[in-house]
Amino acid sequence: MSYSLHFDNIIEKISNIDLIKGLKAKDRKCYNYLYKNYSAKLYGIALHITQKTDIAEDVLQETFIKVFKHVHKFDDSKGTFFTWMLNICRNGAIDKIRYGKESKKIQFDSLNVDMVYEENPEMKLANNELWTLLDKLDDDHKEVLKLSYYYGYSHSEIAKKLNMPFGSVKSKIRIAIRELRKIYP
Amino acid sequence: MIDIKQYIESGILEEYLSGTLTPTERTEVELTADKYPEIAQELASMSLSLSMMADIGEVVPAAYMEEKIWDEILRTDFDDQEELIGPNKAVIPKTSKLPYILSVATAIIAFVTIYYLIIANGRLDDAKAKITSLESENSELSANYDKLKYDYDSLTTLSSIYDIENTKLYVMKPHRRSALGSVVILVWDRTTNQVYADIKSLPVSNSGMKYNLWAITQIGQQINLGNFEHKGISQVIKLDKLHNAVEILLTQEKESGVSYPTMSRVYCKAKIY
Repeated sequence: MSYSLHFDNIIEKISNIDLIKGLKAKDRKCYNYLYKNYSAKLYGIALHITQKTDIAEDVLQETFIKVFKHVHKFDDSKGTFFTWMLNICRNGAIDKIRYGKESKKIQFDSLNVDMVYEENPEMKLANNELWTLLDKLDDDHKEVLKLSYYYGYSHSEIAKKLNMPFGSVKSKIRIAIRELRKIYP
Repeated sequence: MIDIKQYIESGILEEYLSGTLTPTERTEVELTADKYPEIAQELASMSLSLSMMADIGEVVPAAYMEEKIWDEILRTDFDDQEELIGPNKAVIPKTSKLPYILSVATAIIAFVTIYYLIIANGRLDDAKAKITSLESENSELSANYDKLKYDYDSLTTLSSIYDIENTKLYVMKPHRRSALGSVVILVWDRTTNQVYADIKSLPVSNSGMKYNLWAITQIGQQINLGNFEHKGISQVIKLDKLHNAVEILLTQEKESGVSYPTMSRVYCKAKIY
């Protein structure tokens, strides 16, 4: 597997081994590459889940540190480098709101998306694009996927919020992800 | 060996990707994916589809973040073997042996404490048994001492009364079938007229009854010389002084006492001469 690296508009091809070697050596160019290509995607996910700029920034920073620290654990047979980073970021964000000291700052029951948009106007734009993407899914599937993947709700919280049996939430999420795979294989 | 199709259909991979599993469950999924390439491939494929959502939901972080994160990377010691599964576990780097040492030390202390508690408990039981045994022995010794002292006192008394120069001894004859084995010796100090009864053997006193010694005078008077309870141990009883008696009777009477001997309850008797 090879990666396209963008260094000051210069595109380089680098092997997986070289990327790992570069990250282990704290190579600034490798960091620049990761940051320029993935920070907005990772931060977008972290912000959607945590709803707080300061917490999302912490998550982003911790994600990069973990990527540098655990790059030797990356296994390309399990997915791309980006999906690996994305999982670290999502898990980190969800851990923050569920298990960390920041968990008290976020009240799922009182989550007001409009207010979040006011604080983070860029999220509204991002969400508009997201809804366009998700519009190809059924409403139910779209809603559970949004709450689960983008806002970090647990399945039981989704069941409570949507007044839906727990088992239905699980099956809808499963179907939603599979539908998404058909649209974007 | 798991059923791979069933595992994939169970929805656990979707839960893994939606981040709703606990850190432990997450690790289990990762270990399962390590073991079964089909599961790893399914996870990678699903993950890639979901990553499309991240592509669209981009939000550019504040400009200062790029340098801030880089500074933090430079400051961080990457020799730590921190796990990826959650921030709670990341608080204590695993390279620090202190928690491990503390855990081991705590376990050892707990083990040793429990071991010694068990030993101590066993010893305590032994000690309790020994104390009980000693108490029993002590009680027995005490009883033996009392008996020995009593015997000594009796013998002293006996030796003193039997040594009297002007003493006369009378062996009382059993008068009742139940008292056939009785041995009661009367010791009469003729100088002082003091009488002692040396009870060697006699049936145990009946409940609510006491033995009474009576002196029968020449003119038929019945004088009570004293009473005692007999529990089977030989004893010496000091009685009242004896005057003009021709016969001594040993009866068993009610504890409350009687004025005259009950002739149907005479156990032993002796002629005085």
